[in-house]
Amino acid sequence: MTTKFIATLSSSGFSFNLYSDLVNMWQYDFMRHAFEAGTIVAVVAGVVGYFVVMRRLSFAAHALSHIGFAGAAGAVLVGLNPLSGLLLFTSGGGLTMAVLGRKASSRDVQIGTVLAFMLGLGVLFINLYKGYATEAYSLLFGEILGISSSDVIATLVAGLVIITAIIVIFRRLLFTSLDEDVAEAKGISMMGMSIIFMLLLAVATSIAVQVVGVLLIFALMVTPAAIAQRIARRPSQGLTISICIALLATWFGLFISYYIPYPVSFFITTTVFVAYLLVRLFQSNLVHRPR
Amino acid sequence: MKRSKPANRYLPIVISLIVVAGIVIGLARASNSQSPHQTGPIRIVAAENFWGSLASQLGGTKVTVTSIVSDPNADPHEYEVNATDARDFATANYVILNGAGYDSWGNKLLAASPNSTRKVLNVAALLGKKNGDNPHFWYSPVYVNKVIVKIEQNLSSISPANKAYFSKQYKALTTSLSTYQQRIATIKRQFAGTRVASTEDIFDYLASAVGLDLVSPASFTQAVADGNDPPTNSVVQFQQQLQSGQVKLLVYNEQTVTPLTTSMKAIAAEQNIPIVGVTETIQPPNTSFQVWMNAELLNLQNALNAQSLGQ
Amino acid sequence: MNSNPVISAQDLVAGYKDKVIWRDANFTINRGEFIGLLGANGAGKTTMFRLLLGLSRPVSGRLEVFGKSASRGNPRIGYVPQRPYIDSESKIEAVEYVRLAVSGTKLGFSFGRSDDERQRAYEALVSVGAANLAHRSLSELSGGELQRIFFAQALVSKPDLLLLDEPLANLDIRRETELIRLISHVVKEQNIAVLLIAHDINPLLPVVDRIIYIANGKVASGKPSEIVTSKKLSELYDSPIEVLKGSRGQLAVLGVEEALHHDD
Repeated sequence: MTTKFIATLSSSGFSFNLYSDLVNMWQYDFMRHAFEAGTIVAVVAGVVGYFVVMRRLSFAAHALSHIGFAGAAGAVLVGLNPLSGLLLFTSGGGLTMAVLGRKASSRDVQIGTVLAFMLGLGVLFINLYKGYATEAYSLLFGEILGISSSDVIATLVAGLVIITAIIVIFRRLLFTSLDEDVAEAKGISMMGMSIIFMLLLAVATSIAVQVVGVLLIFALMVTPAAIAQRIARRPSQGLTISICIALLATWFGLFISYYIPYPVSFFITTTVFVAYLLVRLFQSNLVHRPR
Repeated sequence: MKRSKPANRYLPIVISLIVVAGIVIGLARASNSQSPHQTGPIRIVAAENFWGSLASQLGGTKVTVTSIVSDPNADPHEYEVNATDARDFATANYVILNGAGYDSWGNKLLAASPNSTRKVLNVAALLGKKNGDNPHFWYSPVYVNKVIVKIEQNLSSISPANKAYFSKQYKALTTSLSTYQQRIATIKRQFAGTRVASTEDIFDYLASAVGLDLVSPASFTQAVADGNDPPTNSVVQFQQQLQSGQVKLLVYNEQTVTPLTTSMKAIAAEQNIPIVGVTETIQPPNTSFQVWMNAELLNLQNALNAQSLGQ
Repeated sequence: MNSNPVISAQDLVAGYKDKVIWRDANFTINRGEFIGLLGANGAGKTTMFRLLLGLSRPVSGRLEVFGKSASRGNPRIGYVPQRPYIDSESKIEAVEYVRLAVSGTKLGFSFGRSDDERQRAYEALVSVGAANLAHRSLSELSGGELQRIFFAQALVSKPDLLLLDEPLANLDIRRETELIRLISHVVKEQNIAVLLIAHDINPLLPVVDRIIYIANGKVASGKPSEIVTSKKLSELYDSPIEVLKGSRGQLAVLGVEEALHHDD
């Protein structure tokens, strides 16, 4: 088994020289595009995800990507680009969630109910479509190896818009995320912040779907941020850690999948999961040490 | 009094990581000189091994062919690309796609690695078919003949120096294909009009070529092909057809298997209806297109014979 | 007393479209006064805060804060809400929470000014004797320590009015006393007006100037000795209430539960 593994590696050109490996894989347009889009998505997911975890919106983020899937299926049905359907539905879903309010206790039930309905819609759209709706299905697991130059540009534009918006609202977003009631008392509009953030989350989800797909959005959007939350003593540290983990996992996943031909999304999710386990293990060890 | 810590020490790390990535990507982009020169054999990549087999026979020693989908145990509709496939597409001189939604991952790979010198044959486009039409073109002898004409043309235009060679290969191939195509005519002469069932719409084109009356509800066979749940009334109808002795034969798609198709197969077995297996891709993978087709048709012919004798 | 009251309420009525929570609130609060806001659960104490913070509108009447109508985001008000939920996984330091109040309502980043802001937050913590807690995460802190942190946060913006919602809840007697003394000390020093919601008047007795009592849809204000009496409370509740005085001045209020349910 090990010899076969090494044989696979060397037959695909792996050397222990990182620089030459990278130059090697980057002669291919599709790998460059994958790294470019992957980098942008990882940074955006690291930033947005940090606030998702802070605002306890993990389930909402997960639900949003599924709601987007229904939109993608609908778009394929009417002959539009699935990404536009994805974007439309995630935005609509996000807006609805923001407007419906913030009582966390009942929110899970509300979100779950809408989510189930949306998935049902998605199944209907796919059923109505004559032919195998591969374009919609491929969104489930991501198609990072099939990203064109114009896809990269679109991702870059979306990413810049998101990051710029986050920078502009940063302090207010942080305040409303960490200390809701006082922020509200100081005059910040909770609904306004909520709406803006959910829309940013919708766009971020839409571009992240290219990389890891609808089903695995957690891997980029939540887990790196969850790890950061357990470590960081300040928000700026937390953001940095979140971005770093998402980036390293994405780069590593892409790098490995070039030599070992399994899906990229699998490698990314596994890396992130292992990182999470390590941090949990490390922390529980610390707890048992005497202060 | 405790002084606050120096400004965030992680931020420079992130920024440098991104900058380094940007620099290296820029370098790679700058040093990249695509369009590999035409030294050595023409590199053909076929999305599926049935077109790949035909291309291989047409190109002979002048080509190397890589077929992406060839696993006999996997459902081609659900194929997921990996980096090796993407590399193959990126370095191919000639790509053959089935089209009509059967292999849309292929379009994505082409877009991800644009190459103006690469030739692409989209079989569906050639035949004037679109997404939503039955994509199993290779089961129609008429379509197969059209496709090999086009492949020969494409090969000759990629490598004009070998035009005569390709022409010779073409003649040899058409002779070899005639075996299975004549068997089709034979079956048609003997058994035209016989009522048969099929679990998926793979058999549609071939059924009409051999003149068999395919009575399975279209809503069932299409749904299975599309990966959907067939409507309940179509399931009932299918079952009734099997149980009332209306069909003489069940053609069973062995690569697109669902719990429903499995249960239909079981019902057919109960009713002692002969079951003929067909596959989406070449079975076994290392034989040629025509040997595969011929074997399947032989099975069909034998089953029809046995049916007519035993009944 | 002071011709520029911090809060002035005239015939104030609170509620929503078809339901009145309380009416006839008439009181003024001046700089440096320590006012206790008392009443049974659900009587409408937090509603009073919401009106003062401009988060709700009164049904009728006038409410002025610093001479102007109550409006949202008044920078002269410091607010310490009840915080039932503390994220137990987050490691964010206490000083970061205090720092939120320094510039948290502005747009953009604190480009380059982070250290200054953190310094200001730290100083606020020092002023409440919580300097040693600056770099601890909230989940490690006890109830009393948390209240100090949030008190510091409210003080960071140098408010002229402090609104504290049940800061003494879930504290034992000793911590209660410590916290009350701390608050009283700080507000006297800085001449801040304080409105503090509490359940029980006793911890407030040593420091409070006047109280506002909300019960049964009515609002009464005055000195504790005027309001927390059997006669006055029975009037408010429309039901017999007994106030018993202990040997060291403690007050026990009996009969409120029955009063609340006497329509059942």
